[in-house]
Amino acid sequence: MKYINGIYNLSKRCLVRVFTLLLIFTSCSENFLDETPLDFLTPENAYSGPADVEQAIVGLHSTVRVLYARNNNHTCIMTALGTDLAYFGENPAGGTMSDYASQLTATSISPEVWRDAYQIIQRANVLIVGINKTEDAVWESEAQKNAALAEAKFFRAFGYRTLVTLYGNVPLVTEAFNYIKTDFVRAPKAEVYALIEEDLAFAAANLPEPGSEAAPGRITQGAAAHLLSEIYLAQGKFQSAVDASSDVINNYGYTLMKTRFGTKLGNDVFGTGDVYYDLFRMNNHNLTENIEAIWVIQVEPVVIGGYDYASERMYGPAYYRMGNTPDGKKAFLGEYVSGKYTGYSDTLGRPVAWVRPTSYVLYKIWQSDWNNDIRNAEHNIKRNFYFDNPASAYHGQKVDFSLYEAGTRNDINDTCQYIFPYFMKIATPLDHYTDPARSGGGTTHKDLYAIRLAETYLIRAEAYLGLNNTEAAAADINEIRNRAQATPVTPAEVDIDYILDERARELYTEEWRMLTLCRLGLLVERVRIYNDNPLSPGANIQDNNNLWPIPQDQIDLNIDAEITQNPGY
Amino acid sequence: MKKNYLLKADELNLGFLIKLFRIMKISVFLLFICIFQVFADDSYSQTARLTLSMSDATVEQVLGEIEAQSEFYILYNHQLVDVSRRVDIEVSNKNIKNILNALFEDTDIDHLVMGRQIILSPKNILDEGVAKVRQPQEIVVTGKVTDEDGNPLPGVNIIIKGTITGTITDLNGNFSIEVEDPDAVLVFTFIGMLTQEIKVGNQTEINITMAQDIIGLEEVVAIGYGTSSKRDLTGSIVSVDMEEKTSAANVDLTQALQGYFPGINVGGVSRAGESASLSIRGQTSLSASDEPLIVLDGIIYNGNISNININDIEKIDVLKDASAAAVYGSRSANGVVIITTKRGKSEKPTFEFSMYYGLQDLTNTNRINIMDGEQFAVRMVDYYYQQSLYSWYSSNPPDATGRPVRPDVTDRNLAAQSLRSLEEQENYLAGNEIDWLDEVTQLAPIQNYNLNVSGATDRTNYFLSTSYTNQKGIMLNDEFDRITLRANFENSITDWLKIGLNSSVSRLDYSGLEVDIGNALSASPWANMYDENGNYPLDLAGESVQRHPLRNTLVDDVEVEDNVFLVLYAKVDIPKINGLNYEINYSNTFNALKHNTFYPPTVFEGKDNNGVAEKLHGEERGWFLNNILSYSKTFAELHRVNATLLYSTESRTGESSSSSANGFQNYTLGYNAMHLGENQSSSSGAWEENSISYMARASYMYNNRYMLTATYRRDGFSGFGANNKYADFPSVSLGWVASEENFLSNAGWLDFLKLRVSYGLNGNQGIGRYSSYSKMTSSDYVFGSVTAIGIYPEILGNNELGWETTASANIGLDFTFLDRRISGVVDIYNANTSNVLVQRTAPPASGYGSVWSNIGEIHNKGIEVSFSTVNVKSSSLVWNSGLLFSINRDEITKLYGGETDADIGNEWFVGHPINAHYNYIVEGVWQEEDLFNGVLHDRYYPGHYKLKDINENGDIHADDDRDIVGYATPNYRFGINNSITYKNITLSFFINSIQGGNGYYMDDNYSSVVAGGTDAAYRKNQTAIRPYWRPDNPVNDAPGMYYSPRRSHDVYEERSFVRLQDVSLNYDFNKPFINKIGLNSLQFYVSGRNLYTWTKWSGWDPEVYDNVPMMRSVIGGFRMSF
Repeated sequence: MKYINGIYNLSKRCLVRVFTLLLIFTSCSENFLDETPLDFLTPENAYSGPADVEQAIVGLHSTVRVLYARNNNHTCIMTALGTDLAYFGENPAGGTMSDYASQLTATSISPEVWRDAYQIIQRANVLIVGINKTEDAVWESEAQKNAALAEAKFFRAFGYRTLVTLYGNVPLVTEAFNYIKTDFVRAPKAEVYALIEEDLAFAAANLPEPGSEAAPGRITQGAAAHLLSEIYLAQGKFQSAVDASSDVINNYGYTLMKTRFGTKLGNDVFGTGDVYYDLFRMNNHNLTENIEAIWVIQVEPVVIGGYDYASERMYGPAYYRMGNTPDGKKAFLGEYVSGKYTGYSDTLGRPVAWVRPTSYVLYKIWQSDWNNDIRNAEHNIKRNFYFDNPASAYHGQKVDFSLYEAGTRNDINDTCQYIFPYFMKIATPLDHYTDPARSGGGTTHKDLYAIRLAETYLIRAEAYLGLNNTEAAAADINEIRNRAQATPVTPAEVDIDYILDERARELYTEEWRMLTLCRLGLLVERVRIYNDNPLSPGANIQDNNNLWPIPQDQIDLNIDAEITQNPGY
Repeated sequence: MKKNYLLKADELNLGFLIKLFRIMKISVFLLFICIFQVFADDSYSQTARLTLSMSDATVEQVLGEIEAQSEFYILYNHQLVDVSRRVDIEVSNKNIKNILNALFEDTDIDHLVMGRQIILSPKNILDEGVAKVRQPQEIVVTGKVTDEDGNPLPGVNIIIKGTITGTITDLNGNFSIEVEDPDAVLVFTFIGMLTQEIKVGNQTEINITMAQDIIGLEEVVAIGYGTSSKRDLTGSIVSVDMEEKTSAANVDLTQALQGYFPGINVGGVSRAGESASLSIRGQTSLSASDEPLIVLDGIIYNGNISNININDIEKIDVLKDASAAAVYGSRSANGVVIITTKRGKSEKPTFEFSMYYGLQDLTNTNRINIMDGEQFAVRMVDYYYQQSLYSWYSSNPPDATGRPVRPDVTDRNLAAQSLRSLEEQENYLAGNEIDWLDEVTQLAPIQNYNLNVSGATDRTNYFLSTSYTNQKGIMLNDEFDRITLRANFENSITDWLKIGLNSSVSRLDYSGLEVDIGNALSASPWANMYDENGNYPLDLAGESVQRHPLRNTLVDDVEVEDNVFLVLYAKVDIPKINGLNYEINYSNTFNALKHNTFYPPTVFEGKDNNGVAEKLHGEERGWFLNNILSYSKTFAELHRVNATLLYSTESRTGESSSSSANGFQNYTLGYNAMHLGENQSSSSGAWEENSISYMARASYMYNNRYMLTATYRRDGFSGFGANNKYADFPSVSLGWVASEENFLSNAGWLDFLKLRVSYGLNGNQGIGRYSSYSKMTSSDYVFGSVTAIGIYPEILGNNELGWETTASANIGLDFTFLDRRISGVVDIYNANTSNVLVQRTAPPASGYGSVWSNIGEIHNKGIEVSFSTVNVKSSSLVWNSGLLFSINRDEITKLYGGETDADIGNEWFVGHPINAHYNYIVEGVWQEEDLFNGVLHDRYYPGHYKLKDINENGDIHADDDRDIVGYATPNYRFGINNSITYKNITLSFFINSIQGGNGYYMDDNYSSVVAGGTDAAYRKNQTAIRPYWRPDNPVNDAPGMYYSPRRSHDVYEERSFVRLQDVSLNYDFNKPFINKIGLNSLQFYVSGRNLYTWTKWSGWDPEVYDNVPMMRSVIGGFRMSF
């Protein structure tokens, strides 16, 4: 009460004083306008020591995984579409990469790949700068810090490898800039390769050795050396390529798997199987006994961060769309779930036929060893499909379009979209976790190989070929062919086409074929020969397409320096 | 609201004053008592204490000091009261009677104190005058004065024309006056109302209704941290009286502003409960927010504008020019909208109730023409046919010989084959077609109920209201439900202290996930609506791109927003220094949002893992503390001074948490039992932002003619870079009331003419907090089966980020002619914005998307005109018209320093408007003759759009063949308003238009115009706005069904439209009838909105041109008060 009276008296005497008092009372402290982020990290405080640097490395893995498993252009194009291996089955005339002239332009497809690659590079650059800024004291050892730097540099090199292979001279960015940079210039390929070599050499020296990495899926010395060997190959440094690939083959305990292994033993969906089949079964990629795997992209069902891999969706035939049996019943009833037929087989999943292999992949490369090459066995390439409707007289019979009355079916849809051989390496028979009724909507939760020892042998074979040592090249190729029970190749037969055939046989859907062909300068030539898209033969590829167009937005936004376009765009 | 001036009788009149003085009625003085004095009580004269210490001062000076120290008005006649007499006076803490007794001791001057009114007069006259107040004359006229709603008007001045004899109405609006002869004319005047003159004749009862003065020169206008009369404004301010806006289906107050005021631009609305976009004048920024600042009851309002019940709003004042808005400094560059809620008016409590009910559908232009089932089937035949055509074209045939023949599309079996799924084929052959647009839209009801009570007593003023609104959107499941409550109180605790509370509570319910109209547009008309179990299939016809358009009706969705807004204030009249006031106000806002959704496994979003539940909770809190010191004083009757000082601080915080879960074995509990989901994840967010502001404003007016206002504001905002927290915003403005000048005061046709000139700086901080920081994003990975949290930098920050500043000049003219039959406002402005805040797209090689920066300069200029006329005005017919026109031009004047900088990637060009479209120019469609004649561009074919080959090299290339195609900004806007009242019926209508031309108001309409494509043609329904090109139908404005051009491009169309936006018909019941049933007023109305639109834009409504239709409504309702 006394206080109130005091205020009252005060106000009666001089209210201005109250005002003054209030001003003081409400005045804020000096730091009232300081701004402190509450729910996000900034590059300034995100790299304080090994633990959060580790999170940044995880961020790079996450960035790169998108390129391998995403169900869109990037993965399909890198592995198959627009190369000699496949065309867009669901829509051969107008689908992705069915017409180079109108689709691979400065405003379509190219910008997506360019942006993705530079995103990896920028995220790696910021991390490298962040690690270099840390106090030495926060690290247990110099080796620990270097291992972290090495993984970041591996990914930076990985990003530049795509760029230099597809676009030639590209802007070389190694710093983490904190302003809007608009004066990029294209650096000569040699400079880009030099950085990649430097980064990979550092990575190969400082990453953990295989088997001592922190977790499955992490990058090891073996992965770095493998990628380095490819980079040497790209520059014609064949002996260095031989040395680097030999390092991978000889020094880390990798071996091609030659005996059956893994989780599905004794439980083969198709009644038979082999080691090649086992290599691609769910949960087999990460097994310690799998010493063929060098870098495995990690996918897992149900777990946060688990992601999915649109493997079936991309590469398999849309058999469930084919309509009726010749006697007018639904051709595929599919699994019977909760009182109704789903229309989908839980063996085949729900593919949508984006990537339809060319005849080259489906037939030509297998002809010499059709029956003995295990990679061509029915359980590895499913070539026969069967009507599935007990109400039909054709139930259980093999699907054959000659059974239908002539003129009642659309050949293109039948052979490009509904039924074509299905590579079981990308399928997960009976492992469709997420939705039994829908067979996963075409996505799987299987790990996938980014680098497998078989490819290292093929890189070394290519390097030996470059050194005109066909003997050694044939020996490396035969490592793979022997495992596949295929007839060995003779040194006289070895040429670049043979190596590319072997790559297709061994690595289809794994290899980034677009990079291989662009690296060799053979994209245009081989697409013209082998891309037998029935509605767009040769995908209308143009002479200049071996080098991709620089994205128009890179040119337009780069206002403080000129970026020249590649020829012909 | 006190008027501090000495009123002298000799200035009032007139040659025959002396003669008249004998019969002067004391009541004449009461003419000058305004409504505020009507409620005044005598206690003031007893409690007010004054202290005077003056020597050798004239009586006039002493009286002036008394007025300065107090709220008294002193009235006297110079010729009867000698005020030049010099006196010494020394009184301390005395009441007025004591002082007056002392002052006029030993003179024959007596005084009469009535409330705050003091009348000085020779003793005999005063006695006689008081005695004569009720002295009968030959004719006694009585009557009642009411406003248009039938409410009694107390305090109306009534004077006998040509005399100074008069009276005022009492609290119930009644008056009584004696006149000498039937020729007498009574003049009724009241602030804010049109003056009326009535000849007495042989009437003894005269009841009049006073109409509101639309011109409203004496209207009080909110100017930010204070008020002013409209007459005295020097800035460009538009006032909106919300009374007229309650006859339309305005759920949100932004809708009520649409098109009615030049320079105030309001976007269209397509969803229930949606707030329209609001902007004032042109765009001053490239990327920062364009939204004006909202001020609610004196407090900067950061909340959702939908929270405000439109019926609670007394009026809205919009500060358009720099000088007016400058009091809000850093946030004022986009203009300021000041909303004032209602207060009590009359001692008798007034209840008001109103309601309306109506129906809404799509505006007439909305119905996008998607293909019907037959066209849908045939298009695929053409899709394949045109592919074979292109193979043939690419062989360069010299003529049409050998051209593939178009399949017979009338063969239904053949067309059926082109459909991709068996079910579509079967439905096609059986004719089971679905019109998906019909399925997803509805005739949507809207209803609103509003109840309030208000009143004012000696010390307390109150307004209490509640409202309920329920609106369904035209898309199924689009629902909006709102309840608002408001309580405004103001209490005079003492004569020097007033405290008040304005509070509002609202609950907005947007529950229900509207159906996806985009899905309906692309859905196959031949798909099955239901699967064999009677459920919606996950995808239509097994096509994963075609989600079921109605699936959202199966989703359980709750979205509710609760809001509390409180303002507590105290106003202190500081003693001793008359005219000095201090106000402190504190406001607190709180809003909470929850959004819970459960997608069952039967819809696409929930199919992946046995249902998906999402739960989001968010809350925001904020407080404001304003200290306002103001001073107002008139010196020597000619010099009026106002000053305002402000110190203001603000703080806002927010936090949110969201969680999601999937993998439910039991769907009944949904989002309420997240823990039953097998996979759960959560995330959270938090933020804080603070501001400090200082403001000073001074205004000076000389002789009601010349006005000067200057303001200065300094603002600090936490969201800017460390080196740029503070900025200063000065402004100055001048006004000249030319009609007060002698050389114009005799111009009978001119009522009022004022010229305004202003210049000032305004800021824009509309980029939000933390924009100067680079930000890391998290992204999870998994090693083996172990989750790993990953981070990477996603957003690049800018430490130097600072304020965007707009310097603008405004010249305005306000005029009223011909006895207020014609009035208008013209404003011309010119604004330069520097350090423009830009979200600049970075080259992709940087690895970042876009970065906030301060670059460049922008120039805006424009003209705004509004005219209103009273075309007919008789006792039974009144016809008012209004015309509005505004034009604005913006231009980028600087980007990165160069005179001809062109940032193609961002589509910014020095010397061009901000929203330029840079693209290829479509010139028609290539035809077969072009092919046969060999004039086709490289890799183009018949049926392709013909792009302009600017450098004429026969090849279309990005470097040489793109140019500025047009601008998104409008060319000009206009509106026409008419209101016709015949007896009890009022019809009003409003036509609104935004026009393009000269390349303005253009936008890409590719998706509406191009029917085909590649993948899209294959799997989706297509637009049928224009028939697609075929060899046998070689149109020149649409490409073929298969369309995969070598250079991707846009197709631009002009969005110009003229819209019959509002029509309303009101019926007012006669007062006597209404009064008999105990009501003060009763009005019925019917109104329509967006009834018809004329436009050449193809596809959706030109105003909301993306994939959402705009609404048309018709409502009926009534209002009553009692």
